[in-house]
Amino acid sequence: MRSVLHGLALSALLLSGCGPIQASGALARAEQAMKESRDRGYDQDCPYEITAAMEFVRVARDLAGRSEFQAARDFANRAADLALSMREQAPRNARMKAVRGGGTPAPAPEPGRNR
Amino acid sequence: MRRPTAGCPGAFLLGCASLAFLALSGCASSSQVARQTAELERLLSDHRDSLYLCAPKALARAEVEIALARHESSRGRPVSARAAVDRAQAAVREAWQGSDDRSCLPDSDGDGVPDREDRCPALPEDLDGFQDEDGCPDPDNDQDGVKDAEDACPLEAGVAANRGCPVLDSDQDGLKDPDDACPTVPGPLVNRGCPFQDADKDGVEDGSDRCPNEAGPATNDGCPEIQYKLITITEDRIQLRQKVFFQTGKAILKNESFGLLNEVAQAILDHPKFQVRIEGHTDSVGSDVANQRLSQSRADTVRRYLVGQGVAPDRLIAIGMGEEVPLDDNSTEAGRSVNRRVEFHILER
Repeated sequence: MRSVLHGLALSALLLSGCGPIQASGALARAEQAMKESRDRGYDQDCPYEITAAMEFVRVARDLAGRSEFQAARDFANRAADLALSMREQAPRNARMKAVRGGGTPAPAPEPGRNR
Repeated sequence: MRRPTAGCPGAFLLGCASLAFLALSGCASSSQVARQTAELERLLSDHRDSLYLCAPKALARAEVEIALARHESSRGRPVSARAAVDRAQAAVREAWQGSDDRSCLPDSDGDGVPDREDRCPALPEDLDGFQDEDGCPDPDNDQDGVKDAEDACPLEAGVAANRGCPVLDSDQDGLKDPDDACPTVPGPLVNRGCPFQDADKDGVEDGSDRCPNEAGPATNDGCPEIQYKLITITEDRIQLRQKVFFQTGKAILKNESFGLLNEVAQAILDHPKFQVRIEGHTDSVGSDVANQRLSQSRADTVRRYLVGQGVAPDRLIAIGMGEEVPLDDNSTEAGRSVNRRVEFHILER
């Protein structure tokens, strides 16, 4: 009986620790994706995506602070998705900007270089 | 031990009412938040393309706050949800103000006319100053079939032969300049747009001058007036210098009238447009009926005589006026003599 109780206690401990770990991981991935997009200069042509990603991260942190780990993880994942989408969105936006401005689109910056 | 409600039933009821009120207000607030959230989402969805370009940061903040509002609402926290909706509304207002800038609206064809105002979003406006607001190119502004690029008058309908410019009628004589031998001086079509000359300088152009080489008044079609011995032609009459004599009480001409009437006939023949009314008049001697009948018979006699001299019958009308239009006093012989007369009125000339 005692061993059963110990097992249940350990499972509860693991399960309760799973939420914070997953939320932290999602936040870390989102922040990493945002950093990479910034480093490549995608944020210059994707003001919507970068702003939304930052806001989702801010909200995710706030939720994690309130122990709402599931929601925090969801919001962080949305931030990461937005940050990753900038890779494809940035060239499209740059072309559109060039058409509207009557100029030619600037070439996409090389990976790893700041603009 | 006293039961909690036994000594204070009023306070218990008051507490229940407060709880019910809070629960109800909480429900009302949740539904209000849900409605406002949906409304904001609909608004953003309708204008997302332009907001994405014009106010991307505000759009992003609004969408994140809406997502947060939904989350808080689902967790039964209407106050937090309400705060998120308020922040979302502020962001939407900011986004809306930013979207007024036309330069950042979607413009697929890049002609400067945003797609939402562009009737031809896939065709760039030609920006030639003609109806540029609609976003559609107008390759032939004046729609004369000559493309603007080749049209010397792109805003005036013209003909291809004149490089798209209208063919003018400078002298406005009804003949277009290319067909007008005298484009700056009005003239009739029959003279190829040139004015007729006036060879005899009588003021009647040769085209309408029956006698272009002889000066004459317009009233006589440019021909000199013929000088008659026994008659005078005025504006509306053939005036007689003599009387037309008839046998007394009869409608039979006396011989001495033939010379006068021959000259009247010649005058009418000389003026081919003349239409003449022959009026017979009597004095007042005798009955009105008899005088009417006699005057008509005498006018008819004169008409027949003139026809006999070659005047077309349809140019002459004979009418008896009886004694109705006297010129003088019928109580004297001199007056009655004046009243017995024949008059020739020119109806058309």
